[in-house]
Amino acid sequence: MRGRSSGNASAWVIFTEELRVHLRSRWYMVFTALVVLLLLIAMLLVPALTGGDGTAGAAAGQDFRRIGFLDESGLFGDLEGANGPAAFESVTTGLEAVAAGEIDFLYVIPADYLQSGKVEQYGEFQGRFPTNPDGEASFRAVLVHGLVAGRVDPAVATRVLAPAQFENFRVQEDGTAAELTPMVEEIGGLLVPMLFAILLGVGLAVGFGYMMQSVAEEKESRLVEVVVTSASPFSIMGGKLLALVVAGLLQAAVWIITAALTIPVMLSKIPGAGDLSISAGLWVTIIVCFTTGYLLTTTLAIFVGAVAPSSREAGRMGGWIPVLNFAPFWLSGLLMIRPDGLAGELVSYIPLVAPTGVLLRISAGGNMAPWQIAVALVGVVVLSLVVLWISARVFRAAILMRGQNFTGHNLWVALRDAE
Amino acid sequence: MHENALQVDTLTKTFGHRAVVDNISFSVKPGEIFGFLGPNGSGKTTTIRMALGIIRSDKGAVSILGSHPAIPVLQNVGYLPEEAGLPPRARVFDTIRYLGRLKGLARHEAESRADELLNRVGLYEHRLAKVSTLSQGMKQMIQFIVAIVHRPKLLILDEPFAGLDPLNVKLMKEILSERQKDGATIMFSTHIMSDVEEMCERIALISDGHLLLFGDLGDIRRERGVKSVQVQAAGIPDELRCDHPRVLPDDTVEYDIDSGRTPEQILKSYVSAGIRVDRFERMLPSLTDIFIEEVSRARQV
Repeated sequence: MRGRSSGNASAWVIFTEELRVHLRSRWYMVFTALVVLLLLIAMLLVPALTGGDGTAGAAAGQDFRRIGFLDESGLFGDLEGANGPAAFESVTTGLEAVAAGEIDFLYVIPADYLQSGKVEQYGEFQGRFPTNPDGEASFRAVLVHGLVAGRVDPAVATRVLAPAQFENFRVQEDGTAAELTPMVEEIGGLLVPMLFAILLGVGLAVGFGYMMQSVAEEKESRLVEVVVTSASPFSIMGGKLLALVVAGLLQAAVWIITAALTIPVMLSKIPGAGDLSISAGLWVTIIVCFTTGYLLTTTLAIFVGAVAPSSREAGRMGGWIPVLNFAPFWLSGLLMIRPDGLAGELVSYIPLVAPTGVLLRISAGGNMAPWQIAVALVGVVVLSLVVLWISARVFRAAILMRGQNFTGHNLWVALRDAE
Repeated sequence: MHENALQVDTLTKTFGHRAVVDNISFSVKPGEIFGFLGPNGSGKTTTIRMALGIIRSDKGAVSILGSHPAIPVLQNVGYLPEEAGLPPRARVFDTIRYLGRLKGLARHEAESRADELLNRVGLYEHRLAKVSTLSQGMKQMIQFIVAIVHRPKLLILDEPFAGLDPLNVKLMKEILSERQKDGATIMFSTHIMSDVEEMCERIALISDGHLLLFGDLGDIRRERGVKSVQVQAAGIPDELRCDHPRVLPDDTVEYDIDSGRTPEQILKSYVSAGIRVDRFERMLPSLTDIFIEEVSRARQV
């Protein structure tokens, strides 16, 4: 009994065979499992490296003179002492003291402190991830002391256990204050897209090399002579293309699920980080970047594999192409300073680098609206289709030229004469 | 039934300024085993590739099983390329299954036929081996299996016996005969004349891209007339000794006809000399003789 015999059936057979070979290949299995393993290891190691379970212990007997406070609750009248924190009469004077360097941080204990537990923390926060775990721990110790001393109220006892949930504000040069993004969101916003940009870059490099060598070897081994008597060039290319894209997406799916499970757990263990919630939009962006990245990379790999005179020459001719996926990383310094500047625009809108570029720009804190991401990745799709069109037209001519260079003249003749 | 399984009309292919195939026409009848002969570099492989639509001809037309050689028609064709066309890193069984499925077989059917044919050629124990680990002869047999796994109506084999030991040559010929009995048409290229004489009724001979001979092998040999006579007898007549006949290992004596005597004159000499003749046979030229003569003449021209 004969199975399906149309062009679609041929493409399907090639797709299933290529996918089977990809999924069973050593690089694919090892790379996929390795990333999962590293994420699991990170989930276990990060808490140990960052100081434990998310609560910082208060240090007894510390010098608190670099801390200022304003007690609007009236609960901590006797906090000042020889090494105690400096009391301020108003927020303004406290901020001036911070700006003048007299104290490092000003803590404002609001009137409803007992109910809310909130303490405002003012300081010259530096860097992308402004934190003050030591200061917070110190002031926590101060509060515990003030609360417990001579009091047995149950509410007080509760607050002793969890004395402060800090809300951070960055003091501007003009003396005003601006609320900071929660640290965990900053870490998640940097870590997740950057991780997937790296994984995409490596995945594309490996996938490109694999596909290019596969096509070049089929050409070198004359297998392609048998295949072209069974399937059209479009079916051959379509099957191969789809197989690598699906293999890449399956790999990404495994990583996304692992990351979605491990990264929030990992960050929750960092002291003061809080809970991470990764937006669905980011996951969609990652998936689209993977899809378009594999689409373009595979079409380029098939083209180079087909026109190269040998598998060795294929490596020489096309070896630079997957390196382009790492070009945005070379600009990461600029991206981190000005993610929406010229460097950010370039890596987002040049199709050859856009899949990793978009992710890296988002990682750097760039503000890309959904339509901007769509425009950038549509550019990748359009270039893929152009390469696919050229490849389909020259495929038959190119794959039969073993040991010969495929010159510009050959390319022109093949394009002109293609059916 | 189509009039011809393969019809090639005025096929021409030029690489650069060199006509590799020049205005070649021939046809292969349904159900026959057809020999496509020519010295190395004569254009056989290029002709086959054009016939299968692998490369485009500059001029001329091809009809396979009554149609233009497009993919649907080629699903009924089995092709064994001159050099092994197998993926070196793939397993033998996977390769046969994959290429069988590409020819339209269902997965389970491709698998059962792969096992059946691997058993038949004695390579079943190598079914999970990688192609690159096989000997050249084994690869050729696997390539042969790939060509016949879907039981094609037309088999086109480019140098099928190259690299095979005599046992495998015999086995491949047996399988080809079976395929022919099942109604398949077979065309194979070679420059080994004995294979053609053994298997083919009709041939085409090309050299330097030109068709030199095409037709029934017996007719071609008869057209060239008697080349020699072989006589098994009790002695040699004195009058024939001056012709310097060759004495073969079994004491048969062979006389070239171009020495000036006709077969009848030679027989008459034996009768006149009173020598008993056990066997007297007119020898037609062998295909090797015809091949050498035709190719040499064409190259002189």
